[in-house]
Amino acid sequence: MTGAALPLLEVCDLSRNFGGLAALDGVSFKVAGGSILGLIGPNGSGKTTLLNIVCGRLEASRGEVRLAGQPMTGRSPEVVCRAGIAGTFQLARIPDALDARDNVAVAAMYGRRRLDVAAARAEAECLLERVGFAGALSARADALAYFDLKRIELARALACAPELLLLDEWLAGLNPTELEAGIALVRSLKDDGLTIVMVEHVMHAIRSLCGQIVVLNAGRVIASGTPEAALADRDVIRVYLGDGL
Amino acid sequence: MLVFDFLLAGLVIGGIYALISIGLNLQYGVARVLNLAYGEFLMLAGYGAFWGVTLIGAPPLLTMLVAAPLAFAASWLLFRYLLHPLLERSRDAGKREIDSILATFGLLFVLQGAALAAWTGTDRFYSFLATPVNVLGIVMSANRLLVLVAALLLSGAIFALLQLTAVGRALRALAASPHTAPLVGIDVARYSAGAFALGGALAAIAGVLLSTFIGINPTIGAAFTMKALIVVVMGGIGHVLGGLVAGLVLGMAETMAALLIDPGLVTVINFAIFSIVLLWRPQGLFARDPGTGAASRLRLGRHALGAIVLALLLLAPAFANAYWLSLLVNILMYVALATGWAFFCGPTRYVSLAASAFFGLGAYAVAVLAPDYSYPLALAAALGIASVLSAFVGLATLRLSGMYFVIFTFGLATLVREVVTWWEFNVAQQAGRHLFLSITTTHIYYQLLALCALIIVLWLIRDKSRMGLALTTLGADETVARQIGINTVALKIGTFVVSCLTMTLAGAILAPRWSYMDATVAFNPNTSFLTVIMALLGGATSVWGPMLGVIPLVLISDYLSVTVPYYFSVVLGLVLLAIVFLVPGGLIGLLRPDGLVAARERLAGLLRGLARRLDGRRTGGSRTEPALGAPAAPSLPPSRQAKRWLSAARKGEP
Repeated sequence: MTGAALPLLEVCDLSRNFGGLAALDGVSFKVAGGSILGLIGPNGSGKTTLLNIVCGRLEASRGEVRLAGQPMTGRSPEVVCRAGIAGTFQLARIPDALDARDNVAVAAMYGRRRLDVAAARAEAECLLERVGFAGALSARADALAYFDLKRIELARALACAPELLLLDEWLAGLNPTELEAGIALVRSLKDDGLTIVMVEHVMHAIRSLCGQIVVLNAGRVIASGTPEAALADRDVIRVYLGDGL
Repeated sequence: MLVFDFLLAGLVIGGIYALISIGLNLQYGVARVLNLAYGEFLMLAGYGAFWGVTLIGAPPLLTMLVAAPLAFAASWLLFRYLLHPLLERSRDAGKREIDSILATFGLLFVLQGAALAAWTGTDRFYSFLATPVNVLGIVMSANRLLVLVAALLLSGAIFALLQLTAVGRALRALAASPHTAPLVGIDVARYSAGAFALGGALAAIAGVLLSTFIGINPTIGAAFTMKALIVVVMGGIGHVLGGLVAGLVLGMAETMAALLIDPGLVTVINFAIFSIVLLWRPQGLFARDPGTGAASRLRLGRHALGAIVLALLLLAPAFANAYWLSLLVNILMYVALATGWAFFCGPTRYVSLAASAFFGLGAYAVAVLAPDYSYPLALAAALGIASVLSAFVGLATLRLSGMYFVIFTFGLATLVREVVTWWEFNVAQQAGRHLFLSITTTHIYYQLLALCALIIVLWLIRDKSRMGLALTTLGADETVARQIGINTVALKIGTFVVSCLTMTLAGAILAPRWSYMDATVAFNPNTSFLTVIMALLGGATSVWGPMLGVIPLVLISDYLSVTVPYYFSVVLGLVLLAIVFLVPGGLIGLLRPDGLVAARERLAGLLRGLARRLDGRRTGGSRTEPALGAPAAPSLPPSRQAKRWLSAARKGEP
């Protein structure tokens, strides 16, 4: 887990165009195993596009994503998932055709582990407890609180048994108490050896969790490094607060 | 000059296609209702013209002046009081689409059945302006020229309306972005109703024009709805100019195909062009909004009940007479079809209308091969062909969804039927096949029973395994399913193939029941419709659901087809409407403890909405809530309850 080890995730020269718009333009960075990388930037800077490419939902126009040296670009989402990348959606997507436990269990049945139904359900119960899910196991999404939906999403991603976890604004929209609980949870995942890339607007969470951050603006990396250094960068301040400061 | 003659003939029919496609485009593109009963307005207006000429000698153009406003008003009412409440009920676009498809499909049955009952199935002709005129050296009849000119003028007028006026701009905005249109002050409900009504009026005009040179019969509507759909999809939904061009192109392609290749293959070519277009550029046209739903919550653990029923069924041939056995065969046939259909379509919510294609393949393969070779060989051949075909349609599910899949599968079923018809006529040189196999009804009965048991057992095993959960996830949100490592491609195609093979086997087993078979019998599209309706009536997401829908409908059809044949289709339509409005989860939903209450509340909610709307109109849109208790009074049948409500609302009583 030191910086000298082979990086778990490598993003090299990644670009993605939507028509004439370059949502990502030559983005490169590395994430060491067992660390948390924060991905920040103004709205529309390409953060979610980047995550979508890493987990296979979108194809890159150019460039490469490698997980532990293995190329991931051009693979379909299910293949990427089985290679060890799992993530949450920006807006929680929990089908209410299944109850809370089965929503998580189905990921343990597929994902990387292929557990059978009974084992997957037991695993789902453990994971839901782990993420602090407070609702009933048999509850449907339409009857659950927002934070509980986010917790199910996280449990579902964990049920895939990933090496790399992508969190897309997982802490957004939480009240201060929930936020502290969320931060503690993410930290505990890191302590278990999971590598995490998180897109986040909550600076407090970024500062307390991330060893490294990458700042995107208009599809390009404008700064990277430790949160203190990167957030003090002149370009970053200009992008967030405007000129004249 | 012959080619030029045909070109002009193609332009005439193309002009009609363009006109009706513009109407349908207004209804689907702007009002967001895929109106499968669209062509029925055309059919009714055609009848209007015919009766106008025949009974009172009114010229068709006069009828048109009456029919168009009438159709406008009827469509407006239909949208405001039937379809709009349905659309408002659900926020889920996919659900709304399926709801509107099913509701208008029911309406289609009602109108078509009523027309059949009232005017029989004969083609109605009359003569109007059937005099030759000379245009640029080409002789054509005056009525066709009139149709061409009228269709082009009207299409041009609608195009100008959309492009040049403020109303047109609002309609286009609505078509482009229904969610943001209200933000800029567009009254969505009013403009949607207007667009829908305008579409209906265009259908009526097209019906009157058509009746001047072709015969009108009750089934003509559905045929033109299909054509309009093809043109709309080819031209692009919401693109009037695209529809205009695609309509003319399709009309000409049809006439040219009839001239150059073979008139018998026109429909085949039609659907071939359409399928290619549909598969080729679905991206812009096919935006799927994956639905979430309560329907799949129903899971009935009543295996014991199933076991008892199975035992009785096994014993049935021992005590049932010929009539009852044949009725049971009918029931089992549809149980196999509907359960097989729902095996894939239930959890994934793809509505396939290809059941008749697979059923027919099975039946026809046996009819062709069994007499000369052997029954097992015929079965193997049928399964082989069906596997390939179903894998192909399964691949289509990767690209198409929602109503596009519905049309695609319907087109495919038509294509298969037409190919077989054409083959029989031109290659095999016979109209159909005589079948004399020593297979008794009892044999058929037990084979069907085994098939039903097989598909049910497969379903139960699937639901117990992780595949059941995976399929539910897939049906609810495909993106999520892939993200957690489910191989959706293999899952969809695998399930679909199993589903189709079940239907193929049903056809193969049933084949010996007919002593004579031709393509129209084997590939009867009604098989598809009935299968879908029965499965949805019962509840397609549960293994016991489909048969719950099959039994009452087979019994009703058996009774009605003897006593009042035409009304069966009316009843079918009404049943479909009732499913959509009252029991969206199917009859099996009623078995849950709160099922009946939920259905009653849904009915009460609809009536309340209706009453409020009527009330609001009278008092100028006041938002007073009618008394909540009244509509739930359960003792009255729905129709009388509705009447009481309406009259109460009109009088302003609570």
